[in-house]
Amino acid sequence: MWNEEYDVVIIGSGFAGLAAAIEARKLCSSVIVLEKMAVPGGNSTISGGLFAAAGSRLQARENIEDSPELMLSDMLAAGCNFNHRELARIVAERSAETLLWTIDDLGVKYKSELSHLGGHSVPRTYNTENTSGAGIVRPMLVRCREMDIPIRLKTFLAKLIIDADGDMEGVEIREDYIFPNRESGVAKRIRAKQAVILATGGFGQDKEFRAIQNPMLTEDIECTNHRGATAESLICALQAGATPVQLSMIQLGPWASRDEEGFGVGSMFSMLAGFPYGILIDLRTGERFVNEQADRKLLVDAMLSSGRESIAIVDEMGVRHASTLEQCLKRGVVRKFNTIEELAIANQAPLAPLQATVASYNAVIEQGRDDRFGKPIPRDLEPLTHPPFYCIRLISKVHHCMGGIRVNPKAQVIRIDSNQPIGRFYAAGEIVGGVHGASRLGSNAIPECLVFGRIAGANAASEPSRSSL
Amino acid sequence: METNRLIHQLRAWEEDIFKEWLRRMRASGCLNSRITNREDFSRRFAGVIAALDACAREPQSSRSARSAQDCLCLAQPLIEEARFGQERGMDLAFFLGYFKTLISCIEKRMPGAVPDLPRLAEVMAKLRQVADSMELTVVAGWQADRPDRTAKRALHSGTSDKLLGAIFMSVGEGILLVDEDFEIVRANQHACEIYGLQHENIVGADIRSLLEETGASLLVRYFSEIAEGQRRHAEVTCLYVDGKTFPATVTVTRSDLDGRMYWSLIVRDDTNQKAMEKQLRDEKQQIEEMNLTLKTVMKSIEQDRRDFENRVAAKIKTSLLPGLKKIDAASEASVRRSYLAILEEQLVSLTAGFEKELDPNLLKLSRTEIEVCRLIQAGCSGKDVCNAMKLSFDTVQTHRRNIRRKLGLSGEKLNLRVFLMNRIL
Repeated sequence: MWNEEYDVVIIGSGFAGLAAAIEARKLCSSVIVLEKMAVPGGNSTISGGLFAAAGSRLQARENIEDSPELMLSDMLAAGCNFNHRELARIVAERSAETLLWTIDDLGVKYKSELSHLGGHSVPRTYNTENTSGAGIVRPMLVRCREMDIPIRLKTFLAKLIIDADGDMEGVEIREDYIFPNRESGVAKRIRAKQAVILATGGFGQDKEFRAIQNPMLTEDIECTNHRGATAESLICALQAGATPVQLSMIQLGPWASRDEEGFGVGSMFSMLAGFPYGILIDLRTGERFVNEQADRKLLVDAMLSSGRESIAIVDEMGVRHASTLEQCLKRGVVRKFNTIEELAIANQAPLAPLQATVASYNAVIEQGRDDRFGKPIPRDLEPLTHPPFYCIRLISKVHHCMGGIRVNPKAQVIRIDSNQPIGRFYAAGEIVGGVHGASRLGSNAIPECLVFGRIAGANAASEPSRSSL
Repeated sequence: METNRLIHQLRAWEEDIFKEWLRRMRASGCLNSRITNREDFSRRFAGVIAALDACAREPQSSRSARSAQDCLCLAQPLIEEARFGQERGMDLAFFLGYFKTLISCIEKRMPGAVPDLPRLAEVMAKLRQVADSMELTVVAGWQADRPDRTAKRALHSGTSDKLLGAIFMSVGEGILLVDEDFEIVRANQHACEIYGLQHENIVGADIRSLLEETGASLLVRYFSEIAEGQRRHAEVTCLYVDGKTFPATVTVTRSDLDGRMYWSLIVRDDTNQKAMEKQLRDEKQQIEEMNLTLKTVMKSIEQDRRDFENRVAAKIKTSLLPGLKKIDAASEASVRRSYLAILEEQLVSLTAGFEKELDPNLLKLSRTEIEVCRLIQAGCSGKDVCNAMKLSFDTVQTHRRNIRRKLGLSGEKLNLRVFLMNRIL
């Protein structure tokens, strides 16, 4: 009946799945990671590699006062208190220690400057050296190889299998699966002697499923995710009795470029330079309309209202923070102009209002006055007076699923009918709902995935072992 | 205010103007569904209106010395559109037809938009001027090369490009396209799988980061050495995403596009081939070893045969012949039978493979002594021997002593039974 048997079976090879695998393997002798795509890493490896941590070394160096409580309150404010508070608290509390784990244990390299992302009270975001989640995924993959954890690619989760006692016993998979053909591959069953961990991410690319949850997200709305970010594994979990949480809360990213597909290189340009050090204007009016450092939900709502056409403009000073600038220019995602006039002409923006917008914004910064949109004015913020000027055309794209299945602080999946954990069944990462409430703050996904991935891995591998078949 | 109303009214008429324009384009036989789509039109219309807006607002400068310059600025969005069109394979005549028709359609509507607009003629003249300067710039710039865009143009996908793209993506070999910065600008699905990287991660990566150092420098040397169209093969060691290395064969070709050099790399993961090659080599070596072993075995069999013959000859000389002599000398029939039995066993043992040793000393034993030995060999105690042979214990002890002496075991700490176990009696 079973083709194979492992102590812990993990589905998904992103941040959460790999973190779970590494922790689990320390406590048990056989762990396998199953991945449906032909390459490992999923969204994690194409993400921007931003890691928010409260109370880090760089914050200490910069004398930035921060605490898990402050991070938690930022999360709750952005999440409109839809957050499952005890889960959010764990992410905030363990963010710093998990960051250290990536540095000291995995050897992840970060840039020496912190970033201040929208919605965070203070700068608390680390950037990986290569401005990509691959900077964390690769060391994790190397560690998995060293720890003898097989990562089986092209292996699709078809069904979660529950035993007679209602505990998770294993998975039915399709081996040599070719995404997205559900008929491809060969069916097999893998038994988990200790536990199964679901770490399959979100469903941002599942246009049908996301439209069911939020009909405003029509098919023509693009997505920053990799192709495999679909809902089948979430559906498997629901079939197995998991509790759905806030599935309609799907975040759009305000920073993605209109001139490239997916997350691309432009998103990081906007996040690191365009928004914090530049201005966001509506092309039709030449005027600002929102605090550029607001959280994603506010930005997207503002950008989508009344058909605005948004571009972000930043000058030579601000652009120094954009680590993907070169690639952006090369691919035509960001364009460079010697004057605001040239920029206005090329973008067909009304010149006079745009000049007025820039002037009044500069006045606000120079005088350190309160911005009328409430943009925070940190000391290193300079007026836009240093040519050349750079601009990126923006379009909102589906980015993150805040909703998912419910877990308790031990990462155990909660059964919908009994409100009790499903035995031997854990989940971590974007598949889990409730941590971020209505809106996830930028750079909070990596701490969430790693913190809960590690919790799930350690707890799964501590389950009593079933006898071998 | 009037100009605002004019602009506003024209924008409101966009749909009508589009229809009018479409009608005229169709009439002139220029309709091409790919190029005359609504979206492009809308953008270009917005550009013309923006230019018109600017002319209307600055009536004074229309005859100023800077006017040519101004016109160029105003025409900029349209010039951008021209470049965009050019990249999509639009030809110049078509492009000019497109815009002339568009501007004419707008002009036709202008008088009706705001009936009592002052300076209407002036605004229209200025619009014409803008259109002319655009035309001049576009015509002049149509052939001019734009290096920053050439890469994009080269890789731009029209329909046939899309088909090519689909083929490119699905080819069963890894294909990477590398530019002058050693940056990977295109990669197909198979290449992603070979390296374990997502498309987003592999595009934009430095080709050298996918190879071990020696392979990387070899490749870089090939890049500089090969001429366009030339081809080189290299066997290199590549890096998988988790740090594992694998052997690969890379075929490098150079292709020049719009004055820039690109190198296409066809990458084949040789892990399986190398494994098969290794297996073949191993098998060959095994066969050679086996051959050698067989030769040795044959030799040793030959040797054994000779040894065997020698030993048989020796045995006959040392064991059997003395035995025959003893039989010859023995007078009593029972003694003769006893010796005959020994001889018989020794003869059998000659052919039975010599598992047990034939000891010439055994021939020195008397008949009774042989009898005693047999019993001891069979595991009988001293008492058992007494009973079996109906001898006194002392007599048996004497026999034992004599046996040990004849077999050269006197004073040795060797149990007689153990000694006899390996010997033929």
